[in-house]
Amino acid sequence: MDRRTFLELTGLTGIALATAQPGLVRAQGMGDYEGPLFLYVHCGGGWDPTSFCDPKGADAEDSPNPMNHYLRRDIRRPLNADGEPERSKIRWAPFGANDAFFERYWYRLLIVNGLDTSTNNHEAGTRYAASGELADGHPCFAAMVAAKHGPKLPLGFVTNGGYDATRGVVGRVRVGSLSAIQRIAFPNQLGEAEQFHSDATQTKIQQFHATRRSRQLSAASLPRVRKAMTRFGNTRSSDNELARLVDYLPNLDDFTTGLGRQGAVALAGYAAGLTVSANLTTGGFDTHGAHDQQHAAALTNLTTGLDEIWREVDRRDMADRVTLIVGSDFGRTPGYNEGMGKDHWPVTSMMLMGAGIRGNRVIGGTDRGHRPMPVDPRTLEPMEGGVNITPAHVHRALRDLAGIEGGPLDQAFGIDTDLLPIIDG
Amino acid sequence: MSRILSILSVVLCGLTGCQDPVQTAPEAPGVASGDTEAECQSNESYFMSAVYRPLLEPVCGGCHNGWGVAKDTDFVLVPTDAPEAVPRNYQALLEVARLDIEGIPLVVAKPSGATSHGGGTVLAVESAEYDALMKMVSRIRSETDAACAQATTEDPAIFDGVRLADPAATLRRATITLAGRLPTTAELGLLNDGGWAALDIILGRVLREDAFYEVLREVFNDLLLTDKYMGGREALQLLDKGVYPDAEWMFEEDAYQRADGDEDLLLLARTHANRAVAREAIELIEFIVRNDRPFTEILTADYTLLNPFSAGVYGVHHSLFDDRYDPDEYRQIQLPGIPHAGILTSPMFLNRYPTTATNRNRHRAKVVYDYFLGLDVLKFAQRPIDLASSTHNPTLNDPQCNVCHEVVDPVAGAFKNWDESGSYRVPEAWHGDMLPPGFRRIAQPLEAGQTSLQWLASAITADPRFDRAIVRIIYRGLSGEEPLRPPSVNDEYPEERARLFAAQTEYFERVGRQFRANGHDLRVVFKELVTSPWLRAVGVDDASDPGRAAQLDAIGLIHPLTPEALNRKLKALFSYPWRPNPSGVDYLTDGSEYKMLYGGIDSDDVIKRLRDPNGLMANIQMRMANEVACLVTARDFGQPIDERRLFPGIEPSFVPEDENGFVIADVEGRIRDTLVHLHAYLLGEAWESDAPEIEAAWLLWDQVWRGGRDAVVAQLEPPALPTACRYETDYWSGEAVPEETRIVEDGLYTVRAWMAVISYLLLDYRFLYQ
Repeated sequence: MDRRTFLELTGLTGIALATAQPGLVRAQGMGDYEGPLFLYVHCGGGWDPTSFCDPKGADAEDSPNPMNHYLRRDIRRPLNADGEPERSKIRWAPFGANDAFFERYWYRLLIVNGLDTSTNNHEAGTRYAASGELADGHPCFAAMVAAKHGPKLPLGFVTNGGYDATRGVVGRVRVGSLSAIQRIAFPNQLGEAEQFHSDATQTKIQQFHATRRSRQLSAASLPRVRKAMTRFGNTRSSDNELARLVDYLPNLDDFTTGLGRQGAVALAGYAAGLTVSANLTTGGFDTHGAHDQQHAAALTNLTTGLDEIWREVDRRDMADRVTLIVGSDFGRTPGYNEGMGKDHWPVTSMMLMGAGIRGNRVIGGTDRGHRPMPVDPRTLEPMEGGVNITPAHVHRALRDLAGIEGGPLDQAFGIDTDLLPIIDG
Repeated sequence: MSRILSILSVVLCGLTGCQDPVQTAPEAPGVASGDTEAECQSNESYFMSAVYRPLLEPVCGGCHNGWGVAKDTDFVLVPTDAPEAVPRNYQALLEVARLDIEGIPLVVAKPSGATSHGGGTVLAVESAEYDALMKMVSRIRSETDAACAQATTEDPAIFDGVRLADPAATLRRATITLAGRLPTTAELGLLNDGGWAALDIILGRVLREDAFYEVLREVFNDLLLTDKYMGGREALQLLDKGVYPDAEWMFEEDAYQRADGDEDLLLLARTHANRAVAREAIELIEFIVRNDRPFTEILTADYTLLNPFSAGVYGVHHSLFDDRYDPDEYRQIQLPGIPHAGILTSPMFLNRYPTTATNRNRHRAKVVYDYFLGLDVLKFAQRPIDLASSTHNPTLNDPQCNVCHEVVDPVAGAFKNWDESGSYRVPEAWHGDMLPPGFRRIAQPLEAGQTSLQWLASAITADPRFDRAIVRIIYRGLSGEEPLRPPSVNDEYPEERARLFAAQTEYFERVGRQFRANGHDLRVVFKELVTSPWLRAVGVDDASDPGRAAQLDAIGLIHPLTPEALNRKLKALFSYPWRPNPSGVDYLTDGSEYKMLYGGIDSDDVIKRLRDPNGLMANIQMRMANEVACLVTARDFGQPIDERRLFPGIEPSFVPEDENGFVIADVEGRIRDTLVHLHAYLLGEAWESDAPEIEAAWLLWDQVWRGGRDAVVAQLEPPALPTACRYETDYWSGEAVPEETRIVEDGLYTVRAWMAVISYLLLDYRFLYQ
């Protein structure tokens, strides 16, 4: 479809419909990256795994100081069509809209429980979950993947917030107003039938601009200036790659959650051959008061968003091309405070699904007090005297999955912990 | 001598057509001169270079830290990347340096094995590190400090061979950055006569223009992020209606009656009340600077700043104002019973940095340290939480926890009278299981119990770290860069990076001292930074050595203009905004357009600007270059010659050769002169008409013109300009301009050739960056 036809169909401010091109799964021959799209979802505020994927119910209705207000006997597990339990260690809390999500996706999930974050601080915990490093200084995982596989792609790393530090390894892009994107995707388009410059003139402008950049870089002597000019030059491409994104955008009105829309844009970027990874965010988990009500809402928003993302993945027939990781700052206290809220707790969970992830597994766990249970580093089975799994372990495994392990990025921003068989165990 | 060199450099530039008018350090101001390190070195400087880096950091720090095996000894160090690690670790050494065991300083005896040491023998007696440690102890015990009267360790050698921008280039950058305009002819004349002294005077004036206060608001909102509440009624809804029952009176059912039946007044209140409340902290900052108050007043102000509309929100009668309709009339007002402490007691600040029953103001304390003392308390220690630990009240009693909490909790306690909604509410008692309110190990006096934040504000502003924190904020705002972080032994070229870090740190400290010595006049900081070699560096003779390159890493100013700054620059240079239409929003400053895509913030979810370019920003730049060229080219040609900004010496009818291919004399020269003018006007570059850059631009113009002319003749392109690029109406009024001034047709294709040149220049990094 050429640009003018596209505009006639949708108008400059309209939303491109991917269904207009139902066979368009992913751009062919655009870029060399053939690996999966990595999506990191950050649940901001510190989610409560015991209300979600590491359920801890009360013994009885009148149990004093319960960890949750549901009973242990009501904890859910996957059932087959006959109502018989599936062979699975997946369990979830009868809370919020968890049932709908887990019943649909349990077999795809790798859940890592009992992660010891060693922190109750939002900033440190967010960083640890997104990068595998508690201290400041590492890029987030999504940035590292993009730096490895798509450093020059215009939308290589798309961020919607959370810990999205890049440490200069790759540029990051925020994708906001889509009507604005459609306009800037075609910078020489003046209207439906006009251009600012002729194609020949636009080409000349870019050519002369490129040669001037070369002269300027040759003349620059200060290291800081040279670096900045090099980065500036890297953003210039003779091919307007951004225009391809427009062709792959779905109708975002079909998505009811912000998380779903963020994921849809990232999927469109990947389909267009422009995106390798994305940080997605959803919040509302810092429930120091009225935990049950607020956390149920936040978890429902999360699971609805995840469902929207996976439905879009399935619609694009990309289930084997998307890896999704879900994490949070830390966990929440194994009990309620005076305001019926829950405070910060350094034990949390992460959830992984998609390409390269063998689902229907639970690794790690916690005891009745929601303290981490150590595991055998070889088998990941519970073992007294074993290791506490941390976000660092998860990220080492993720780096291995993404082909970063052992490479220059991994060496520059190393994670000082063992490689456990979390993903392929 | 400096004036002679200035003149000489101008003469040389005139002969050679050089690009950047420069001076060579150290003639330009800002580089402190002084004695060499051998003649005058403070104890702390000697500690850093001879003791800490070679010995304490790599050898001792592994155990002697807040969580290591030596955490319970009398000698505990903080991590290298902790804020003020060097002075704090120097202090730790001071506390043990006077102890001897069997005639040997204890701090030397232990690591050298002369006495029992849990870490064994780690220091050889014949080593340089042993000698340095002994010398350090000797210097401490001599109770003299060889610190020089003025800062000597800014390391002038770092600027060896560095070329600096001259006064004219510095002024251009300053007026564009700080006032959103180009230097005036008068200013350039003054500069030509008076050099740096004149620049100081001119800057003083620039820093009083309204546009400067817009920049000031942006710099401090980037920190405070209270613009989060600018939308709708967000700020008003934060206020406790039990304390301020009239907070949203303008939206109540009886609002019309309350406005005395004055619809205009009601509309103004609905428009301005929320905005005024949301911006009260930022407006206070502007008020203090505009009225030449000491900048410490941002915390010590015992009043709040209200306009007639925010006054109504807080229950203050409009009779205190001259004009109850004027949203720009601000008054200093003390709300009854409220012990104001500037920003600290603003409900906007207190809600932006909230607390909970369990957090107990620790988040607010962390922010106070970060913003007003330049300390990131989260970097004090690794703080790994050990769930197996059974220490009672760990924040008070567990060394893993209280390494931070002993600093944070007293300041948190100072917020005790301000509740979760940001309202003043004195509690019956503060938490007995926390350290009492205080600061720097000084407990708050009892009489300050109900005015605790006022006490804290005085303590903070008396601390020299406040001065340095403000300098860092302004540096960040001007340069787009974070101040350097403490170097690590794992860095490449650690020695060079250490020198650079030390030099920048001491530079900030010097500016901080100047700031304080000048009564905390914030303009002093702006002037100093704008004229400093750190930000004026434009080149260096030789940076081929990687170590030298590492040393130069923080020198020079180059970063993408923020969307707000680029927007101001476009308006300054072209006098037209970049918008979809005259009544629309500016593309670069509207959140639904390009602001966020171009790296801006919304003060809510997106709170960090993007400092590195990306592909999306590149496309926005291309769109801007094309749209602005379209908007301004024909429009400028349509103005009288003496009112033109872009094409004062040329007309669309000027073509370099006639239809028969014969050269038309002088036209190419006029075109080249125009290109010289455009490079100077848009990019600040000074070229001769035969310089390579002018040659390149001439080729672009010529090739676009020839190709377009031929395409028009062949009817492959229309003779008329694209519709939006014509000059037919006045931009603002939309009224048709006189027929004779209209520019619609472009059969010669010259206007479109000039449009191409404008686009080419607007895409340049010298336009898009500062």
